[in-house]
Amino acid sequence: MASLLFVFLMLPLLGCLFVLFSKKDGYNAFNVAFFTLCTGILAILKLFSESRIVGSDFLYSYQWLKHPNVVFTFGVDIFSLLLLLGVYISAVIGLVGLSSVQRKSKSLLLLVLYFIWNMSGLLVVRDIISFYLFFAGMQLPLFMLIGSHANIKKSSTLSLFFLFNLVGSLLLLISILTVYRYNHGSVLLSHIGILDIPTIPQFIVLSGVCTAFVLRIPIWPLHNWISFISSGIKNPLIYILTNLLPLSGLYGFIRFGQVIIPTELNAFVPIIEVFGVLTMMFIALIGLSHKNFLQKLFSYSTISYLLFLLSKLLLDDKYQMNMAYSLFIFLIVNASLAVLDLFAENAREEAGCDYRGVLVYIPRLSKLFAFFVLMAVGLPMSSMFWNNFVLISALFRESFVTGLWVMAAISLIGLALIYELYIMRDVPNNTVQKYELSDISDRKLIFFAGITLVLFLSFFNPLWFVF
Amino acid sequence: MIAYTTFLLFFIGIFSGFKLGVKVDRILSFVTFTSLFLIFGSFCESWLTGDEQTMSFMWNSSPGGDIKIDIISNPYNYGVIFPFFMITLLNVAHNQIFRYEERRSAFNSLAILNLAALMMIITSNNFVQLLSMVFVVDILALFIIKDVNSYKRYFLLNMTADMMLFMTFAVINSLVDSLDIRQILEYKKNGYHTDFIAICGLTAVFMKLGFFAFHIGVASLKQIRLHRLQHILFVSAPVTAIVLLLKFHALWSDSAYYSGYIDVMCIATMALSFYGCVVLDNFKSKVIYWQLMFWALFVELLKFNGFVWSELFTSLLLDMYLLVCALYWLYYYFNRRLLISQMMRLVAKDALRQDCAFVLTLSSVVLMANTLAIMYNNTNRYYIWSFAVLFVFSLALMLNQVIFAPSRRKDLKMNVLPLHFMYLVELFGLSAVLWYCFHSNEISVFGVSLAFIVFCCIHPLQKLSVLYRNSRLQNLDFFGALYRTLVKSLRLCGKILWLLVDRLLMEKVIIGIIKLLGKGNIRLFRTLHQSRLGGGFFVLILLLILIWISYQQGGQING
Amino acid sequence: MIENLVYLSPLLVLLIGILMMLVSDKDYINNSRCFRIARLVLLISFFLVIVFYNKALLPMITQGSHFTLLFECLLYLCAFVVLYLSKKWFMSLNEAGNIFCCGIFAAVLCGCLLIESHNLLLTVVMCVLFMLNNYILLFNFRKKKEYVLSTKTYMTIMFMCWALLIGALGILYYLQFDFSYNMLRTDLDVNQNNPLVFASMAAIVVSFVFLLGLAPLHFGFTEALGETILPVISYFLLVPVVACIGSFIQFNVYVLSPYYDKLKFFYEAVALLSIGIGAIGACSVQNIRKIFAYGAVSHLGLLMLILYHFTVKTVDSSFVYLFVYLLAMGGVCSTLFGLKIKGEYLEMLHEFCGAAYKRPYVAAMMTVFIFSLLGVPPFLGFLGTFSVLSRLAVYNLYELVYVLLMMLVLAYAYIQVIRTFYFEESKAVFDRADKGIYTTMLFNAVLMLVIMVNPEYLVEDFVLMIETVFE
Repeated sequence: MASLLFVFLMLPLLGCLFVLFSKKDGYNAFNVAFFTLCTGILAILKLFSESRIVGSDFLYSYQWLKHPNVVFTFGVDIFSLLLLLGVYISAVIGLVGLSSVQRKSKSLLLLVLYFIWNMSGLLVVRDIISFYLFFAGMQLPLFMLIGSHANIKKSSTLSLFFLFNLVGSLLLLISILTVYRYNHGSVLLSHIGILDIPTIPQFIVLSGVCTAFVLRIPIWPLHNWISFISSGIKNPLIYILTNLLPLSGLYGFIRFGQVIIPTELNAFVPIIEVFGVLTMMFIALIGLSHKNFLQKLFSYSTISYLLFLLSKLLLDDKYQMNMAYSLFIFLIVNASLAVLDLFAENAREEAGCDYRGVLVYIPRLSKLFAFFVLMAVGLPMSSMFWNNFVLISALFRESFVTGLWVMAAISLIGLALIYELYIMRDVPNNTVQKYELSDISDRKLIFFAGITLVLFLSFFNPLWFVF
Repeated sequence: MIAYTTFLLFFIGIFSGFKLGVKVDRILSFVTFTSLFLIFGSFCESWLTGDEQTMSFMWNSSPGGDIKIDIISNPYNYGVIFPFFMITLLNVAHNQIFRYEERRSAFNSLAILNLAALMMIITSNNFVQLLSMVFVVDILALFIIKDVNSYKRYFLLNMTADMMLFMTFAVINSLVDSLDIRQILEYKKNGYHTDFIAICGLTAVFMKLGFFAFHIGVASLKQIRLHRLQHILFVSAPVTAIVLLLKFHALWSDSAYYSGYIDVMCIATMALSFYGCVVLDNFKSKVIYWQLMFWALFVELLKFNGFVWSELFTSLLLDMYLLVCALYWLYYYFNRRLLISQMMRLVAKDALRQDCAFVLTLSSVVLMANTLAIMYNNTNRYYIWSFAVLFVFSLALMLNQVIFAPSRRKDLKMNVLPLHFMYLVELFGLSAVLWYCFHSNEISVFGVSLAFIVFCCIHPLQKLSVLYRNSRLQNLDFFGALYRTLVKSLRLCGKILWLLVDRLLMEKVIIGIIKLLGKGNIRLFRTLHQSRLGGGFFVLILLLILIWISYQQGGQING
Repeated sequence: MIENLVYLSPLLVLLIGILMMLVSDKDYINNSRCFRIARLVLLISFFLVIVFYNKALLPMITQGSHFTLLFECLLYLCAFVVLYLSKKWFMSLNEAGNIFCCGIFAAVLCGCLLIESHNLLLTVVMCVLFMLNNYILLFNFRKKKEYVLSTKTYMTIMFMCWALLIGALGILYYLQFDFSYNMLRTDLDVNQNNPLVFASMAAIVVSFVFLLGLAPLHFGFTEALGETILPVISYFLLVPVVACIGSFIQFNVYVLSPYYDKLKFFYEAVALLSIGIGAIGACSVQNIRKIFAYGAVSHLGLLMLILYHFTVKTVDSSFVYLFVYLLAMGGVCSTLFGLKIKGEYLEMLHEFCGAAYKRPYVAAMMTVFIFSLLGVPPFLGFLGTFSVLSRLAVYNLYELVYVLLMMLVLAYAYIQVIRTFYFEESKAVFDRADKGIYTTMLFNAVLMLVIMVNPEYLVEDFVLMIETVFE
């Protein structure tokens, strides 16, 4: 198990190395990246079965420093493995969505693998220092990716993005150092709640942790960085990775909150709850007002992350697996929709066709698109449907008003997505001109059909792929 | 056993959905129809033998709650399923005999899958199973409607209704902490927000039924083919709504607003439907509004019957279905002209077919009147009378306009259509019913039938066709405009929020202040560094001050 | 006598090197040969320093230890790197490099004596000489001859420091203090509350502050660096830092401990000021060299903020930070050497637009070094930052918050550099970088990687050597 975990963690780095030395103007780098991610998926599946045998208590440690005492601890459970699988499949979907020119970009693929490495690390670490390492580490590749490959022209947006993330990382660092002050050495994430820390430093730790994670998710009024960035990205892979960033904040809450919440974090919960709900409504209304599918999708993903955040903060740990199942589907659906939308957008731009009714000319893509939109909205096509139901009903139990707002936001954004789907499938009656748009290739169709199958089967058993 | 039937239907539905060549498609369609017929036979047989079995298995398990699939076979469920099975079978039979579809088996597939989903809704005991299947029915409705322009409003309204149902069930589940529907009685004991639950749930139900204020979804289906419309009106979202009422009325009835809300909505829907049936020129719109009127009556009748299903409801449903079939005959006879005003201008060539159409309609009306007459004593008579008057008048008015129009018609000839076997069967069947009803003891049935015939023949009613020429009335879309305004205002709200919060507050104010602070610091820094002499002096002073303070502080600590 | 001469041989070799460079004829010794000889001289001297690491160069006034060896090694390494990189500059512009080599030798010589010094007089003299050497380098290698203002500023502050040093020596001589560190400490113990003694000690500390380029005496350092050539900048960012930090630690541990309480506030204030001024300064300029010069002020301020406690742990932490800083700043210098257009080395930020598209590897390394300086994981900088900040968290949480805030400001400045490299487009054609530059960067990167994977070498083994200063 330990060696498998080590190999899995090193895979993206090894991929980076191969990409670095691959041929300049070919598809070698792309093939390497694709192969690396697919191997990663296989390794995750193997880890699933291994973790069933070993159990979730398995921890693997590596002493990095003696003075100060820093021990990196790794471990996996079904929750983190599901998220890992979601991240890897999303990244593969993003890779499939790259254009032929983008596939030749070595730097893009290198940074993607590096980001995935950080994400993988974050999801398997179990101690605070290594958590920080990966948490802060992922902002660099993303910053470089967005700056170099996402065609974002407004440079101040980029600086804002980096600084917002850096603020989050530094706040987390303050918290970690404060914990370090009272417990010289690495502390397991699960032990944070039982540390003996005086009141004021404890307040510093908790506010630092909360703000750091909230900055990533992001909650109003700290959401600007991601909305500015997401609205301008034209590269599907980078869009997907950017939308994975909030996962790090959410995961932080989940891991850090496991022990803290019952006592110390209680003071923060109402604040985050109020702001979370406000943000959900705010983003839903903004999503409704946007006339672009990708922006609506961004609103949808933010609202979903906030739903999971509220579920984490307000509900018992017994709902954690429901969250994991739902998150897993959400990651894949979000990635698929981003890629399919950008396919449609590219085809539309090539043919000079109107946005309205674009899907009519690309029937294969249209079907897939509709399937994923309906799945995103929460129709019973994947396990997200019933897991979200369980989570929302539990939210209602905790707070009726919160539940109402959450439902309102989810309904609004769901309807907005469906309306956008209608717009994209609706050809005005007076349209005479017929366009010839390039539909998705057979290979891509098979790939996405496979993804839909994975999701659909999860409706019957969320862990059907575990043997 | 219902479970067996359901799975068989799912299997046939999927099998029938395969895209094959035209010839194979016909064969497949026939095979599907035959299988469905046989399954229906087996279903009826099981019902008659008093089959009572429960199929229950664990679908998914999580610490948050277990989800079970329950398919319960009992006479009650058989009774509820029967009319929908029958209607589906008739729809598939129609599809088999008439050339409605390019690919018959595709429609069959959708109809059968829809039926299977309905069966799972009716037999479910689990919120997730129920909700899932409600969603499935709505998705299948999308495929049945097919036309993008038509399903926009319908689907959006139904999705809103589904979201509201989702919320209602979530609230119920939050208190009973169980996904089992049978536990809602627990909610009744300790329930809170009962009014909310009732209003939210009933609104969802009304949305699905297409009642007043929510009718624009169903009304927008006037563009789709009539047999598809018929399917949507009879065995799609409205049925789920009725089943929801049957399952949850016990919970919702705790609210003080429950009864009033239903009454108000039913009356408003009847009034609205009457208006639609009289004023609108579009034939399919009229059919839709008659159907709405019927559902309004149906809900009221159910309410007075304590939401307990009986054979009379089955009979009423089938009567209405046959009436729409008769109207379809009329539509077919008028060569699928959509507008009544167009039909009025057509010269009838074939008196036999015209008479057949009339007899068919009349027979359906009599049949329905007969069923209502049986129910008459145990329910609210005012509703029945209102419905009878409004329904009979509006229906007769249309027949008056299209069949009994005077000879001032322009010479627009219509094609002579073959008299289909299916309609012949229906015609004979209904004629027999007509004969039976006129011989029954119910005087009211005779009265209604007479009124119908009289209305059909009164010449002055023709003048109401002037309404069809009023384009304002024809295009009036008050609720559509209302919803558009609502959505626009929400969008405007979003834009204002975005401008105020994202642009003004965050970008201009907060980030602006931070930038300004940064710039101020930098300017101060540059000023200090540009003036070498002043800067140097400042540094020297600063250095001395620091050393002085340092010395002083150190001394204090030592002291 | 002969034995002493042998121990003195590293310095003698450097002296010979200086003489050789001074008398060399440009026609006879071309740049390539000059730098080859310079490197050879430096290597021989380095070898001799290692061989006689525990022998005093000047037995009466100096002392050798593991600590001094470590700092001397770092000093030689930095000087070697600077020489190696500078060769490219001098050769490409075909300018005489003998004076520069001479300056480097002098700096190493002064630095070694400063590090080993156990006598205040020697320390002061070496400080004075170091300052003079720095000034000569600045004056001699001004980029344009009309740039005199910054060198004048440097000179003014230098004279002020000289005056302070001479004054300090005069006071101590007047008070009949012995100048050897051991005796001086005893005397300071006795005269703890004497303001004159405190003033003289403060004067010496101020000189160190100036040599390190810390605020508020950063004027000469940062402004002058913006107006000088790249080799001199590299020298200033690396060589004096090692020598002064080594000497400063010894001076404080051996001599100033009785005055620790009195000087604490000053150190703290200087450190905090440096951190702030460095960060804001870096944001306020468009000259890339000045950005890194101000960045260096900020980084050294952070180092000082931990170092001034002068406990075993803080010195260990600050050494780790120093080491990481040297590697990263060395890397930054090497990348600056690797980017030029039509033979011209670049200076202003906008000139670097689109560098990443033309020189992707150089740009990538620049990014790595910048993020390392910022302490962003998983680069080596994180080790240094974590080492320092974890210590700071123990001492003062408010200062920690302030430091992180200023790091954010500094990050903004560094981000501008990366943004220019990567996100701005330009049609400028960048010259092909020398293989030596790539070698340096690769060596640097490998070293960083090895230490990051297994930091025990740095944190355990080197720190053991550092701790000898407390024995």
